[in-house]
Amino acid sequence: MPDSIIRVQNLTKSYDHGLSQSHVVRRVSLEVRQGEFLSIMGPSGSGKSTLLHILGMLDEPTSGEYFFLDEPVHRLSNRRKTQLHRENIGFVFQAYHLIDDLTVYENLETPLLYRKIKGSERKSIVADALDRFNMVAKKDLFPSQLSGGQQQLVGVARALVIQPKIILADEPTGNLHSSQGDQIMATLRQLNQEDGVTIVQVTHNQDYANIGDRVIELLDGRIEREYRPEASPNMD
Amino acid sequence: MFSHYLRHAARLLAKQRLHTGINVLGLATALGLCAIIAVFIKYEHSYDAWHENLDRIYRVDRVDLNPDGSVDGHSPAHPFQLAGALERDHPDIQETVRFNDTDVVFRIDGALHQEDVLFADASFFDVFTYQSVYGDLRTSLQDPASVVLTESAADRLLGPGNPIGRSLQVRYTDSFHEVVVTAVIADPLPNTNIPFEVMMSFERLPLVYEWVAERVDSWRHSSFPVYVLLREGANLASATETIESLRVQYYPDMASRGREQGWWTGEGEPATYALIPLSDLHLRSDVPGGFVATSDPSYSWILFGIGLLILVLACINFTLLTMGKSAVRAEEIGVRKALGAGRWEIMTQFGGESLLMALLGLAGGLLLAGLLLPVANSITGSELDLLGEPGVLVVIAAVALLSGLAAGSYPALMISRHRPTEALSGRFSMGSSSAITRGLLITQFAASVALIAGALVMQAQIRFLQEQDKGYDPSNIIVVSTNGTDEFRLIRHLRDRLGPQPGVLGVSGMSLSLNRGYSSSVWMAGDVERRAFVYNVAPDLPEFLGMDMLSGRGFDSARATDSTNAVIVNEAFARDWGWTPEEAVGQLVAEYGDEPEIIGVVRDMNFRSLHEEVEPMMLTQSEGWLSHALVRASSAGTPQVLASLQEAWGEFTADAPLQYTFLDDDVALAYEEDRRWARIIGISASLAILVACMGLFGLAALTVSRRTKEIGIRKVLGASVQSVMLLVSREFAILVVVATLIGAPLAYFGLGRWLDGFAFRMDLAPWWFLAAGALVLLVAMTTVAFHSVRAAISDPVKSLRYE
Repeated sequence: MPDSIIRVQNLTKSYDHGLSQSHVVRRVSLEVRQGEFLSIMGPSGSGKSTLLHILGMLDEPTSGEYFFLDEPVHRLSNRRKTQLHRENIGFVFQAYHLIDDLTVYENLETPLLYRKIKGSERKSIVADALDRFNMVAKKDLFPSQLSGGQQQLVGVARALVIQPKIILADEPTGNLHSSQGDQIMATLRQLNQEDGVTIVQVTHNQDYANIGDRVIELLDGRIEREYRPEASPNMD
Repeated sequence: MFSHYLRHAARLLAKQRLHTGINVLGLATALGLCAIIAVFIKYEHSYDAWHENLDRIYRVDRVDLNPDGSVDGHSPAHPFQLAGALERDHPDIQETVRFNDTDVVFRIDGALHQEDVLFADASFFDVFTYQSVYGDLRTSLQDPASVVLTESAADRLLGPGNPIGRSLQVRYTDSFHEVVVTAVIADPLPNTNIPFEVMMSFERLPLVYEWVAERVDSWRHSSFPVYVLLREGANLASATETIESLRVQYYPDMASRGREQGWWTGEGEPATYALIPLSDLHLRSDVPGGFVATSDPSYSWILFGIGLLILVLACINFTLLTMGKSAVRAEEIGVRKALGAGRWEIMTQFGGESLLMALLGLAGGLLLAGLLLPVANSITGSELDLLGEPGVLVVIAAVALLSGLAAGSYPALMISRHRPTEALSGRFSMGSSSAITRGLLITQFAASVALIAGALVMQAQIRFLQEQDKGYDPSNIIVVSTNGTDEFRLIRHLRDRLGPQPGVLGVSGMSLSLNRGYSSSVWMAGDVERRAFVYNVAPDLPEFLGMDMLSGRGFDSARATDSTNAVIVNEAFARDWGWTPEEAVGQLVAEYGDEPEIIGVVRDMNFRSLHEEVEPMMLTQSEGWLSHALVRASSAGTPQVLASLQEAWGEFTADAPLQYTFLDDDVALAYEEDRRWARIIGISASLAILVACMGLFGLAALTVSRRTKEIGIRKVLGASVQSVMLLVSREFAILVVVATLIGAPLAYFGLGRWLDGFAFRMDLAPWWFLAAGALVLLVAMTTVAFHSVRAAISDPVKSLRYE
C-alpha cells in the first residue's frame, strides 16, 4: 500500500466569466499521508471547500495532477473515478446533507447500496454503525426529527459505513453548538487515532484545527502557511 | 436494494401529492383513452375473424365498368342461378352460399312479430362457423320449411327452453304458413358482416316472393349476394376468370343489350368480376358492405392519432414536471453522488420512479377505460369489451411502461449530468425557461387549440346543416310503413280515421321515405344521359310537405291524365334540361316511359343529405307503389295521434304489426356519422385541454415557488397585486399565443378537408380559430391564476425570511 493517499501537483481551479477569469484554487501542491489528520483553514472564499471537493472527486480541477492511492485521477474515466470514490472516500458536510425522505437506517444504508453490498451483510454493517453511535433507538426516525448534533452524528456514521480510507469533512461543526461540535470532533479524533482513518477537514475553528497533525491555511486559493499544531504560535 | 428504492419512491410520490396526482391522472386519462381506442381498432379489424375457413371465404362482386375501362362500382348481387353454375363448373370452388335478407312477419301464439330474416343456402353452416346450442347445424337448413334462431332471438320470440320442433307461422302471399325450428345457435359476436337473428332456407324464397319465382331462371336480373368457399390452395385469379366466362356463357348478350338500351357505349364487356376476401370486407370503403355498412379504415387511424396525441401530451407533462421538480431534489442528488452514486445509479433511480408513476397511471387508465367503455360503445355503436382482449391489455401495459421511460429519461439524463458540487450548493435548476420546456408547452397548447377549433367548427357545421332550409317541413311527420298491406286502402283508411282528429294536420303517402332510400333512374334522351330521382307520391304530397310551387300546378285527382302521364319536377331538373321553371311547364320528359308532361316545378328541396348537391327529382302520381303513409301531427298532439294510429292500424289489419318512424329522425340519420365524429373530436379536445392544463397547473406552481424570493423583493419595492399576477402569467400567455399561431393553420387545413365532404358548408371564418385560441388562453390563465394570485397576495416578509 502506498504511503501517501493523496498527492496533488499544481492544482488549479478557475471559472470563466466571459472575458475575465477567476481563480478559486491556484497551483496548490499537497500530499496527505495514510493515517494523517489534516486541517485546512482560511477565510471565506479562499478556496477551502473547492479544494476539498476536488480531493473528493466531486469537482474537477482546471489543471494540475491529482494522484489518489498513486492512481492518476486527472487521467481516469468517470467510471473508474466513481469506483475509487465509492470504495475509499467518506464525506461529512457542514449542512449534514442527510436525505430528508429516508430514515436514519436508510441513510446509513445508501452508500452500501452503491457499493453493491448484499442485503444480509448490509444489515449487519448498518446495525454495527447504529450500535457504535448509540442510535439504535432512532433508526426509524427521519432527519427532521433529530437535533442538529444528532443529524451530524448520522452524517459521520454514514461516511464511515463503507470503512473508507479517508474522510473528507467540510466544516463538520459549522452548524452546531459548541458542545455538539466538541462531540463530533472527539469522534473524528477517535476514528483517526484508534481506527487509523485518514481525515481531511475544513474548519474555521482554530481549536478544532489544532486537533489534527498538520494545518494548512489558504488565502486567495494559495497555500499561505503550513504548520504542525505543536509548533503553532496559537498553541498554549 | 430494490425495496430500498421502492420505499423511497413511494414516500416521495406520497409527499409530492400535486406532482404525483397530475402525472398519474394525466397518464391515466391518456392510457384509458388509448385502451379504448386500441380495443376499438382491434374490434374493427376482427370482423368475422372466428370463422374457421375465413381465409378461404370470398364474396363474389360484379365489377361494373365505365366505357373507358375504369371501374364504375362493385355490385354484390347476382342471378339466382350463378351459385349453382359455379359449383358445377369450377373445381376450385368448394361451396357456394346465396343470401337474401328481408323483413318477414311471424305469428307466434297469436302475437305478430316483424323480423329481419336472412335467407341462406343449406351450405351456410358448412362454410361459416357457428356454435350450436340445440340441433344439428349441418342439416338444419335442408328442409325448406326450417328456421334457425340465435339464442337471444329464441328467448325473445319463444321464451326460454329448447324450442327444437316448435312451429311458427310465417306470412307470405297473403296467408300464414308453417315453419319449424331446427336449430338454435349461440349468439355470434357483434362484429360480423353477416349479422342475423333469424335464418330461413333460401329454397323457400321463391315461394315467399313472386318476384323471386319469376327470376329463378333469369340471368339478367341480379338480386342475390353469393359467397364462395374456395378449396385449399385454389387459384384466386382462375376462379375469378371462371366466373366471368360463366356469365358470358349464360348471359352472352349483356353488352349488346346495354348498347341497345343506351346504358353501355363501350367496346368490350360492361362488367368483370372480383372475389373480395371476407376478412377484408369490413374495412373496404370502396365496395358495398356485406349486410352492414363497411367502415372507412381512416377512422381507425384518426382515432389512433388522437390517442397518441393525448398520450404525448401526458408524457410532455410528465417530462416538464419531473424536470421542474428535480431542482427541489438537487441536494439529494448531490449527496447521493458524494456517497458514491455514479451517473447510472442516479439515472436508474429516477427512471424507476418514472416507471412506478407509469404503473400507477396504467392502473388508473384501465379503471377509467372500464368506466368509460359504455360511453364509447354508445358513441361508436359497437360492443367493445376490454377484459376479453388480453392482447390489447398487454400492448397498453407496454405503452404505459414505454411512456414512463420516454418521459422520464430526459429528466433523468439531465439530472444525472450535473456535478454534485453544483447540486449541493443549490446552484442548478432546470427551469421552465429552457427552450425545450417552451417547445413542449407550445406543442401541448397548439394541439389543444387545433382540437378545440375542430370541435367548435364541427358542431357549428352540424347546426348549420340542421338550420338549412330543406325546402320542405319535416317536423312532426310520422312515416308509417305500409308493410305489404294494400297501400291505397291503408292511406284512405288513415285519412278517414285520423283526418278529422284535432291533432292531425294531414295524411299523405309516398314510395320512399325522404332521406331513407332513393332510387334514381338513368335514361338516354337523344345522346344525352339523363338522371332523376323518382318518387311516386299521393296527389296531395307537395302541399302536405310544404313544398314551394314555383310554376305550374300540383296534381289534381279530378284530372284522369294526372295519374298516368303527369310529373312534377324540381328546379335542378329544369336546369339540367336547360329550362327556366316557367319554360319547363308543359314540356314532355323525352324518352322516359310514355313521355309524361311536366305540370309543375317545385323549389329545390334537400331530399337527400346535405352532403350532396340537390339533384334532378321527379314526382309521379300513379296507382301502386306507395310504400309509406305519412301523417303530420300538431306538435302538441303527437302522443294522441300515435295512440289513434295504433288503433286505426289494428282495425285495418291483423296480419302485420304497425311500424313507424319520425321523418325528423330519418333526416337526422343522414348526419349520424357527422354527429358521432363531432362528439369524438369534442371529447378528445376536452381531454387534451384537461391534460394540458393539469401540466400547466403543476408548472405554474413550480414557477411561483422558484420565484418566491423575486416576488417578495418586488412586493417590498412596492409592486401591486396586479403587476405580480401579470409577471407570473405573462410568460404562459405568450406561449399560448404562439401555440394558437401554430395550431390554427393545422386545424384550418384539416377542417377544410372535412368540410369539402359537404355540398352545403359553412364559411370557415378566422374568428373560429381566434375563439379556440381565446378559450385555451382563458382556461390557461385561470389555471395559472390559482398560483399567481396566491403569490401576489402572499406576505413578502415570509417569503424572504427563508433566505
